[in-house]
Amino acid sequence: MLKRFLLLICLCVGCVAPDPVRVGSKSFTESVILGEIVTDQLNQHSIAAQHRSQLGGTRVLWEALLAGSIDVYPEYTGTLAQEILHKPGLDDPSLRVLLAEKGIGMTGSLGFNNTYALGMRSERARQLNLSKISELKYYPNLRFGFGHEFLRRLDGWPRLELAYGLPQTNLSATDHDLAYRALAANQLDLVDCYATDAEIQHYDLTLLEDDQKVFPQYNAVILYRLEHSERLGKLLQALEGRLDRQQMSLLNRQVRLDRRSEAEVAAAWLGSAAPHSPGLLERLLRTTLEHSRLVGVSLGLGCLIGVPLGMICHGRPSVGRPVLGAVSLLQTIPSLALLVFLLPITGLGARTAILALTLYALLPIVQGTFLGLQTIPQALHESALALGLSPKTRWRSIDLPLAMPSIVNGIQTAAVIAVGTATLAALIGAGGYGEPILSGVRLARTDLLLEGAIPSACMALAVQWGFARWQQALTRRR
Amino acid sequence: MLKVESVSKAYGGRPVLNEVSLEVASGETIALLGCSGSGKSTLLRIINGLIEPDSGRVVFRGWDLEGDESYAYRREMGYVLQEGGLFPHLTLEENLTLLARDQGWSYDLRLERVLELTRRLRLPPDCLGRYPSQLSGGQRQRASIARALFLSPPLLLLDEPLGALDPPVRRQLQDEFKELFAQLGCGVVLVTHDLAEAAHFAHRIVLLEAGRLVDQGTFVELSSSGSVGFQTMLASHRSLPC
Repeated sequence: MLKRFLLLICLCVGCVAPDPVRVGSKSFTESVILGEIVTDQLNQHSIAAQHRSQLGGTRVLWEALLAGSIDVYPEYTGTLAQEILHKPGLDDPSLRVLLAEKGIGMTGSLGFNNTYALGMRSERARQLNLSKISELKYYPNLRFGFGHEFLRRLDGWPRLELAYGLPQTNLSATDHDLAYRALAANQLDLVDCYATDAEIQHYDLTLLEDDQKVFPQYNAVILYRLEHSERLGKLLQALEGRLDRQQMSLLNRQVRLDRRSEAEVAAAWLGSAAPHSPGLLERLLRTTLEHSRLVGVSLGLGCLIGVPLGMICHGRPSVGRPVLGAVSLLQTIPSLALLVFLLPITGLGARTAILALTLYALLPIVQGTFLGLQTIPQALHESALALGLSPKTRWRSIDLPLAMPSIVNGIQTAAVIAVGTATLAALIGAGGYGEPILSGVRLARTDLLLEGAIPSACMALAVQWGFARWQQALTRRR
Repeated sequence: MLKVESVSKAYGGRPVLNEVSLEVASGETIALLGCSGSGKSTLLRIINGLIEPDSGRVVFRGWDLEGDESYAYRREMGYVLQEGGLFPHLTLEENLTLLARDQGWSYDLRLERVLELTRRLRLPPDCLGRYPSQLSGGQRQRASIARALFLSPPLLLLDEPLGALDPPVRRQLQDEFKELFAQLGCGVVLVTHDLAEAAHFAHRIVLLEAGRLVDQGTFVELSSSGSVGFQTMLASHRSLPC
């Protein structure tokens, strides 16, 4: 029964077939900028393209590309070899062959290698006449500050120390952001960074050359589904080699530190017209509509499925127990895990989010309906039977209205949960209030965080209030 | 009109009713008298089909209820519970007319009947828009009787209808209802554990003890030649030692 219902929903939400090329990006600034650049590049050449920005991590994007929920996204060769294909150290031609087997095409490098790098203040580097990592061994007293991950990862410091025979012992494990500040304050001499970090420009850092090529190659490339290679291949390849490390770092800086939008920065770099950037009200209107749609549709579906399920649970305890167990189990799946789990089945976007939210809505609604019916006093139940009311009238005029407060209570709980959980939907490109929250977290910008968090809280309160009023109207005179 | 033929019922091996037979004639009021656990409420539920007997049968106006899954015959029997069983989410008027609406009565017809019944049961018309919780205990029981009488059923089943009321209200309603039943001329089966109430209402008292029908007759008959149970009850006056 449940299975058939789920299948039905999958089919229902699955019939929307989007047309334009869908460009994805991961939820960090550089990926979003690259996504904007790709989208712009396609749009400029009259190929309709849509950017689904900050969709989540590598796993989500890769699965989405394989499943065809997106057509294009920027990736790094090191990530491809290490995390996706699990064959560290593959060169680009072999990567291309392996990807082609999966129906995925890969452009050449866009021009920069966003790998680990060691950075020093330019002034200090000049002072010591340092430009290569191999030269570090002559300065055993330098103070190094490394991130925890870099210190631990096999392809990080352990490998570097061994390969270059570095003698330094003054190592401190520091948070990345703090390390930059300590460096600027001259409390550290050298930090690890990513080669295109915005701070490199900001703090005027010099990156030491990895002259023995110890760090893995993280060349930025663009992945696309091979079925589009005729249409998109040339245009995407036209971006190869055009973006060097300094430029990328500058673009990152413009977004992260100068607070310009990714779209604007990408357009400026490509030399296309600056896109229309929506104002706060316009953005709020859009996210509110998206969020309401996610909550409303999933709640509606939840009721359509949950109320009858609750009725079945009440009427047939042998069916009811397993059903109640199943919906309780659904509730224990962490939302992020559920989203990722559903991705290969229903793809990116609102439908997956709605499906997940619907599943979460089931427990409170089924339970509310079940309890509402279970707790109808025996005397009233008997009274309705003894009067000789027809089953239809008994259900419509007695059982349902008497169970209604409990059902509404269940729907209220489901709604409040849905408003909160729907913020996670932005991770898979379903929009809503999660989108500004995600940007806010990514860019460490409180204004963006609040732009999502405040309306979301308001919506939850409004929902709570609305349902409480309904509840009140139902029980006022009993 | 109503014939109960050697009906037995057991719950989990424990007999609740044992070979009980009974007849009720049209216009007759009988009282099922016994203490709790004597099976009198179970018998009432079997009569109106809420419970199916293990053996024996109930014949109502030539209608054999055995195996009859339909609920239509229940409309021929008005049924009133101790607490009235009024639906808390419906107004008094909605409670009264629920069944008639289910039966497709027109509004005018319903209104006429509502007004007639409120007059008969001395319910003030301004009660009609109120919810059961806004009525007094006595009004609630009057309303329950009115609802049970709505379709003019030939048989009325009352399960301790006055049990939850204060003594003064109770006495008043006893008088009113007795007069009403006499006017209506319908059969009445009244379940009670109150000897005085049974004596007040009933043409015939049926005494139940641990699921068995131990004695029956008018109050006078029973008082002069009644069973030990009845004599004990009489001695401890009014209420059964339950």
